[in-house]
Amino acid sequence: MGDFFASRFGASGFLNEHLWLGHLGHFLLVLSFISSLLATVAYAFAEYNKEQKSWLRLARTAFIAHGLSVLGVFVLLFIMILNHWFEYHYAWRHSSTTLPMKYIISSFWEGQEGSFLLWQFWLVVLGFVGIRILKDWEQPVMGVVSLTQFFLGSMVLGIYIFGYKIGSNPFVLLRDEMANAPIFQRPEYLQFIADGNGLNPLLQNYWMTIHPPVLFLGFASVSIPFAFAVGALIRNDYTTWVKPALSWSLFCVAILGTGILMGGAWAYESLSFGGFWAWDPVENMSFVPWLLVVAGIHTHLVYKHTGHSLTTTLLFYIFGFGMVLYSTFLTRSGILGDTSVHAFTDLGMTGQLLIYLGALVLPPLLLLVARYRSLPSIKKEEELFSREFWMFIGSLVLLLSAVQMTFTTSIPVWNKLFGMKLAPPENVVRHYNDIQIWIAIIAAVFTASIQFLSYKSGRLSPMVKFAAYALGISILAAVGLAYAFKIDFTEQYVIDFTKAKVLSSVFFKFKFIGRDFLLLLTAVYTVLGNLAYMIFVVKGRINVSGAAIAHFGFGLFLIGVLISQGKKEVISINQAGIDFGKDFKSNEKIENVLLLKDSALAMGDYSVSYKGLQVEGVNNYYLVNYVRKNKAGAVQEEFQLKPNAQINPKMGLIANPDTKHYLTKDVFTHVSSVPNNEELKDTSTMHEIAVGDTFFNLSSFTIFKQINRKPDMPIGYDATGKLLIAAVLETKTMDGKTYTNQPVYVVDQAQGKVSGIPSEEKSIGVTYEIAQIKPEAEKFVIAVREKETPVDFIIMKAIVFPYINLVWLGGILTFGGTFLSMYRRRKEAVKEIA
Amino acid sequence: MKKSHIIALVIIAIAVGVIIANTGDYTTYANFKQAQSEPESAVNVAGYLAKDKPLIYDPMKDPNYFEFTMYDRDGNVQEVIYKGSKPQDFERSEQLVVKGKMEGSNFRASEILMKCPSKYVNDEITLKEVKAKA
Repeated sequence: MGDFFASRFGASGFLNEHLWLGHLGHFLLVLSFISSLLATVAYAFAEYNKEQKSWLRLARTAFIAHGLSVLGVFVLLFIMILNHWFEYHYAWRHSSTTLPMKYIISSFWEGQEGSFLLWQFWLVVLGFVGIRILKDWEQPVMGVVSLTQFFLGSMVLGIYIFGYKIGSNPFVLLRDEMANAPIFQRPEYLQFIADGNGLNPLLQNYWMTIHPPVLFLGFASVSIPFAFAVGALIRNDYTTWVKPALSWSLFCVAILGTGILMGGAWAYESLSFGGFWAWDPVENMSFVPWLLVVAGIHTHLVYKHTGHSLTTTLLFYIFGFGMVLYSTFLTRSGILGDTSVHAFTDLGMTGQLLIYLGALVLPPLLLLVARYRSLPSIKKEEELFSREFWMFIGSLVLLLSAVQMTFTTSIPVWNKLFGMKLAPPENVVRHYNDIQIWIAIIAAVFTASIQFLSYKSGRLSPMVKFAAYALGISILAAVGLAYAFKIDFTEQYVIDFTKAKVLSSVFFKFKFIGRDFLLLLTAVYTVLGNLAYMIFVVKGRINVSGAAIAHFGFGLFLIGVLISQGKKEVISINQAGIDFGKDFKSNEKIENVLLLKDSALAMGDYSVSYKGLQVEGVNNYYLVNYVRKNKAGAVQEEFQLKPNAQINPKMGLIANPDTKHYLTKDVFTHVSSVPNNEELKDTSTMHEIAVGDTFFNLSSFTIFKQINRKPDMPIGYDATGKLLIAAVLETKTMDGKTYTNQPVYVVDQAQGKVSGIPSEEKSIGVTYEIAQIKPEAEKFVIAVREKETPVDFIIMKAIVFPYINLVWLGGILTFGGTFLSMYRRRKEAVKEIA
Repeated sequence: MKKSHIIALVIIAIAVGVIIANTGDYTTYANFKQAQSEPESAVNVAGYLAKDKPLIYDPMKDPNYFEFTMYDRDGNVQEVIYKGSKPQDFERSEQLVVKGKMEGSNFRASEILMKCPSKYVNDEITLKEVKAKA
């Protein structure tokens, strides 16, 4: 017993460790894990024993205990990181003392453990809100939430059961993690640890302090519609959940969408691929749950108004949550490997993640099958021109989008399952755009049109005329915009099944209205159609305009995407115009340009010059000046960008772009390569010459003019007893400059020694020294040391993104509108309860 | 059957068709021999940089031309041309994955993925020199 306490709470034998934090952390992790299980069980009993209030009280107490312990763990982890207690592996691995405060916060969620905790934290917050407002639905919803917390909690537990490691614990000590390192033999090892590993420089961006918390709140909130769906199935009650669940789903869509958009803003500002969306696996897998919940909301509304589409709604919510878990599996198991910029290492929890996916998603699906016959359904078919019919179809279109993204992103999974050697498409962006742009076009038409139809009615409402007007004006506007932005009206399409090796005979091509033009047209129609709806149908009543505002924003977003990405212009096209021969196709991207220091190049409307390097800590800022002049040569506009390249000892060059923002466009600049001047070598050559001879250097030539027997020596030089001979050397450079140098040869007659005093010409990096004088031949041997001239240049890329602000504005309106809807639906739900 | 069910089935059928057609975009992992035998299709080749062969990159002449030699995992050696700037620290890369296709005697990479020996998060403790107290 004494040993037990000594090893845990007493002297560890190591100095200056703060072991209390880890012990408290472990304790709270276990407490949160057990209390979440207790809450789950208690909520289950509370559900089936409604008369006995004690079960509900126990469940709430357990959940609150769980929540407080999660909060405690959260605070402890912050204390550990903020104080740089590097005896803990997590603090050492993800932070460093040189990290500014705003990024120390990001260290918290760089690791898997921290991000799981963040997820738990938000679910606790949502749970506390839930306990207050869920009323009659508290038991099933909070039961499911507690069960989710139980599984999430096990991810950070870090204990071994029967030899299997369950979860990964953030309070592991560095000396336990790397027990074999010799420094841990020493009790004072902590003073040898210079610093933590620091934060991945790519994550050192202010968006990284705000994007992950919002995204994880989004992920956490997907649990609530899921919990409602499961609760409805458990209770076999499909009416009372409809109103309260709707506002939670809307919250989820607004928050998760905002989180994804912030991730796009981060990618745009700090990654160098030049855009906000790259169809990266991690991006896709955060987008898929969002799409499914969006689809779920639409069928949810259909069910609320007509009684149709109940099963579909339940499935969307179950799969939406399932895809959050699947996406966690993909990104955390290491299976994606190098296909993603979001590098998460494998913590050996692959199996655990798969088990949870099965344990949380399969039972609801089985329950749905079991209950299928008792689900209320409406015998009467939907009318062809009813709102519910088209909303249902629209949801299926969103599902299609989700399926294609999931299918391609899962390539590593197919390889594992079927032993294939598939790799992602050669052009990933084109692969997704080929499908997703068509889906966007259909979605745009639907969001503009369907709201003018009525529920449960086969007849067109008179309001449809507004949709027709909007469409008419949209066609005119789109044609005008297409002219202005040079968007093609027609395009050659190729339908090709031959590459997929299934239907080798199906190959044809045809000409049709251009895809980009169709997207522009339908997006403009979405904007105008929703505007018309707000003005003529709801007559400007803002409280019922949430959906219309969201859809209006979606239209703006699409226009922004189309113009900023489709019409982005790489202005740093290489001017050298070198012919690479037939091996190179002329349409290839030649997007990087070399910019010598102080020389200017024309790029787009600008004259761009590189002004030199500014070093601040680990960051190298390359000063790039942009000047725009009018025809008369007067400066219209002038600005400086500072693209940053961090030469990171561990990751190499991390380029951070810099962008000049205008209302109508962005000028984006990033450095793709810089010269490595450390590799410059000295050259050293010997020349045996007489007066009047000439020799050549790397970039200059030198004439031996004459011999000077009375050279100027530094003040205080003691020349007594010494013979001084200088060679007068005149160096001419390529650009016509002349420099004179006099290396001196010293013969110390008293001591019988000879030596040379070199002369350096700093501006051209050449040093002369007399190595030897051969009097009989009247020749001097001159040693020339020459530095390779350090060339100062950057290789950079500059892109103009027109109207990218429409993307951000559209996104903000979409999610703002969704919040407005949430507010309205919440009020409806409260009214019903009251 | 309800209209909505029929349309749903039609949409699902189209979806399956489109996704299958779309998988024609997928590439495969291969070695350079296989890439040579199928010069039309893009492949991913994993391997190592041949550090004894020269890297050709002269940004003063053309910042978008980079040539190097690489071994695939089966030991086939191949010159690779990449039209872009040389990735920083390329020499230090331990493993390479190039995506592209054969063109003539060269492999034309449209994308290079490199694995460096020290990924950022590595478990290597930087030690501070502290003089032992007497």
